[in-house]
Amino acid sequence: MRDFDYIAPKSVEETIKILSEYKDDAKIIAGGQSLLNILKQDLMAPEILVDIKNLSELDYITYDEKKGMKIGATTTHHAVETSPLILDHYPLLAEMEHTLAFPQTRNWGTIGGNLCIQDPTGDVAPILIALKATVKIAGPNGERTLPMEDFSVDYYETVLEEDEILTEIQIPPMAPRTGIAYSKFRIVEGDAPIVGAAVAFTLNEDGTCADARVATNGTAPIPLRIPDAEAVFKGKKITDELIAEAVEIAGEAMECIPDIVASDEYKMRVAKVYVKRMAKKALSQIQ
Amino acid sequence: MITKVVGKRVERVGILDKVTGKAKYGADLEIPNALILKVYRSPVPHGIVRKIDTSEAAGVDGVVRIFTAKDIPGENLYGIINKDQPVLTGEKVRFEGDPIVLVAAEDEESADRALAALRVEIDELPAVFDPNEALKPEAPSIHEKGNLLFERKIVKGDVEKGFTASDIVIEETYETNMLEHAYIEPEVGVAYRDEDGCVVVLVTTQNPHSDHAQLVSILGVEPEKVRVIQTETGGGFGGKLDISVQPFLALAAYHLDRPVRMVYSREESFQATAKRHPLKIRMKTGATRDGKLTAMKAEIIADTGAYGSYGIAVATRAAVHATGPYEVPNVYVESKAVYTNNNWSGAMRGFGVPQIAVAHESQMDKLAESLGFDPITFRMMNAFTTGSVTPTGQTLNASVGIRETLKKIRPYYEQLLREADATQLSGLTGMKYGVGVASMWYGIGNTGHPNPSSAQIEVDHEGNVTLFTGAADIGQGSDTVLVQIAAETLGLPFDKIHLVRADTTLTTDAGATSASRQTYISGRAVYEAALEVRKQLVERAAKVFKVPANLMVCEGGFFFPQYREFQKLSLTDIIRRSLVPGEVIRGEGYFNPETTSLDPETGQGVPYTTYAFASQVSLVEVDLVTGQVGVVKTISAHDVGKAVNPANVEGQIFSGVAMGIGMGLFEQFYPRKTKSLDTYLIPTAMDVPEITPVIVEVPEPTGPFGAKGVGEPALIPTAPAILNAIHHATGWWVNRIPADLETIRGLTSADEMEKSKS
Repeated sequence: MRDFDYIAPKSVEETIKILSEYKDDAKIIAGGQSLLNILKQDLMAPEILVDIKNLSELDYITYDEKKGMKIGATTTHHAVETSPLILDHYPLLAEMEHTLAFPQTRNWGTIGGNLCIQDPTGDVAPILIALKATVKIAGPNGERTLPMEDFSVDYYETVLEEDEILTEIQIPPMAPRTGIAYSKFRIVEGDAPIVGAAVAFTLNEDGTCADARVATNGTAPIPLRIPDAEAVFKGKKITDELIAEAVEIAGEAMECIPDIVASDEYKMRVAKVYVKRMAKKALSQIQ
Repeated sequence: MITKVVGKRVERVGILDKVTGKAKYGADLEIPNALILKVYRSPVPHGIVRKIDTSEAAGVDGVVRIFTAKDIPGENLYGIINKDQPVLTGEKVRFEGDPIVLVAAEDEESADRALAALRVEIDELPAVFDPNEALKPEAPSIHEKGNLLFERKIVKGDVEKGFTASDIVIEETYETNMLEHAYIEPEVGVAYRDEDGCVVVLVTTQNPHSDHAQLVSILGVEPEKVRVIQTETGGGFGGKLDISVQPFLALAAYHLDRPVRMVYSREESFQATAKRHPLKIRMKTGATRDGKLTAMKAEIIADTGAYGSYGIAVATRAAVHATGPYEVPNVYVESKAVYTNNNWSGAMRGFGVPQIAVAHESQMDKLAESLGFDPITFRMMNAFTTGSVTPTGQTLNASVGIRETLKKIRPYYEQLLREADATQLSGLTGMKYGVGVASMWYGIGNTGHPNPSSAQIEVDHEGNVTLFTGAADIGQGSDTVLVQIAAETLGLPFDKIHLVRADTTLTTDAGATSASRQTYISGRAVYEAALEVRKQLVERAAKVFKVPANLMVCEGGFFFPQYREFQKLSLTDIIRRSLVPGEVIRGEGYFNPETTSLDPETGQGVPYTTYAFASQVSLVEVDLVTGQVGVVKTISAHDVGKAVNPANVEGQIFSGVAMGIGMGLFEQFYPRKTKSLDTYLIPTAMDVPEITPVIVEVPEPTGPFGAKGVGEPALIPTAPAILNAIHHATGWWVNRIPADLETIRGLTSADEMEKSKS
């Protein structure tokens, strides 16, 4: 690990000022659970680390029946995992957090940091995509908001400009008759997923599909939302045949990368099975 | 025999310091003014070092000294069995990671800058990574004497006649994985020269006296000019038997007037230290229709990588144990250790026996199934018993507990079969459940070589009792076991004994903490020392009481003449009345179990005095969709002779099963590719199934209180039991470990995938 300077700004405003000044030389650190490993391996060598871990203005979870959930970017995984509001309104999110890495990681790691590091196997993004979440970004020219699925660009790369910071995750209230499921596959407990899938369905009163979301992790350089697979279900009654069709389309959208643990073909096969299983599980919650 | 300390679950020596963080591991030692050492390693797997230009690196701020092969005052070659490994190579590199230059700097960053400023020119040579390829005449020669390091043959009876007389013969090829030990504490140590000019090395190690001998040779100094002190050690599993940071520390401390410190990162620990030998095994086994084994033939090739390390021991052990714990009248084994340009393989928990057990236990299940016997019955029909003759012609005279262990697991086996059936009926589609059995035997101590241990006990004039042992406790618990044996023999409470351990100036050689030998061999040495001290104490007490020594009783730390307990005097009372200040009572203990060297042509001989035995049964689940195998339950019965500390024995069994799950299911070190724990996955507490340890005690007459060993046996049956359970679950024989995702997934036919509509 190279030496670096360290600064701990007191506000988002000050953080943006520092980022504007140091640009590329600065790197934000929150919980550091991914970044520290990257620094230790010299894969990144910032001149200055901007520590936002103690920015209390970004550490919150609120819920409004109309606007939905707002989660500050420096909220820890542990806080999300144990929040009564989240357990009430999006229990799947808490359930996912409970299996994310280890308790030590969850105590330090933040939900915003997880998204910003943009590890394509990350657990958080596919669920947020399925929940139709948006992310709020602050920069010198004010704030902007965009859908979760538009946040990631490539391996370890997001849309964030060098002077921008992710401040908030917004999740709309769940529509009635919505089912959502997420699961992941890994070899040992606590390790990163090899692949995972999240599926959400919202049904019309007549039982046909009003809306569907299909998202996967570990299947491309970024968390993948697969609109073509979603389109299969829209306006139709969801059947095993329809699910099988969507699974095949989902498979075509994947660009799995082989690694030391598994081949690309293996990852795609397993990811497809997970899409199928999650589709059935999501459906079973509303039928 | 009624014992008061031995056989009890006493609190581990030093455990409070460990759990409260007071214990000092190598990285915790604060040595003021210490320089940091770092090594430049070869970026290529095979080549000739043409030029080493250190001029730029020497000019880097904070760099104090740069060492190359030229700076080694003694012999620049080491190796625990055969010497073939340079401390710093000046001529040839044989694997990606061979050390070439050592840098001493004021801090880590300066050392890193110096490494980056080194200019090392290497002419790359063609490399060979497959041991079969390495044996071909046209293969690049890695060492001058050729690529065959060693070959061991075992010949008993007439194997071909044995096959002719068989009703069934099964022949199969097995492959096992290269593994990283992944102990929690990477290699670390500090060194300095003391006021007498002695180079003192404090280091994490399993082998302080061997470290000492090797450092003496490398530095070319008198033995008293080197002192090795073992720090608290966070695991070893064989990986800390070879020297690692020791020669670098000693070399720098020898040349410099500054203390030095060296810590391997996890990545360096992965790259620079020994791995488990991967084995390719061709095994042919015959049996008669009525279930008697007739013949076994095996060809074994072990990839020892760039250096010998323990390759000879691994090839030998795999050969000696190749039948498993069964009587086979006709045996022929050829076992080779072969050099390649892979990471060097060395000792790892079991020395080739965990690998060969995969083969012989798979063969046993294949034969049992073909002949229509259940796996336990078939094993029982062939298992060793008292009087059995091993493949090396040794008659087993005592402590042959294999049948006991099979008997103990029988009810669990039947219960798990019912559970597997029930789960299969109620469980998820796409999941299969199966039960597998495996047994093992393991010779305690070095193979066909003398492996003595020694110990001393002193009682000073104030009644302080001190046990001196060279045995390194690396977390396995020898400190506790040895103190228990001393306390029991002396008739003293456990906490009365002070321990001095693993310091080459203060203690004598106890041999390596390896081969599951410390309880048996060092335990017996401690027992002998304690007997001697006890005798002297009783004589002193007899004088105090003015009675003949044979009428004295020594019990619970008190001495009294027979039938006169009311007059009892404590050890301290006796000492005060009979020793003058400065006088000590001292007992010496020594034990070297009887072995003979194996005949070079036939392998006949007595490789070990005694063997441990075990049988294990596991319930596994196989996910046909992902190929993932999970171990649900394991019951493991071990004949340890006598459990000196049952909690310790159970701890070994738990850890052996945990390690075996990684070995059997997903651990795989890819030379030049595997860099860290990021991709080398090991099981954590969360992946360990329900484990039921069963302790079987068939006493070994030469062992202290009947004890043998359990450290390595605990691991050995795990992987083969998993493979056999996978077969029971799915009908597939998996002839390799790890039985990883794509191996299992690859066996699932499209048809089955369709059926497993999940």
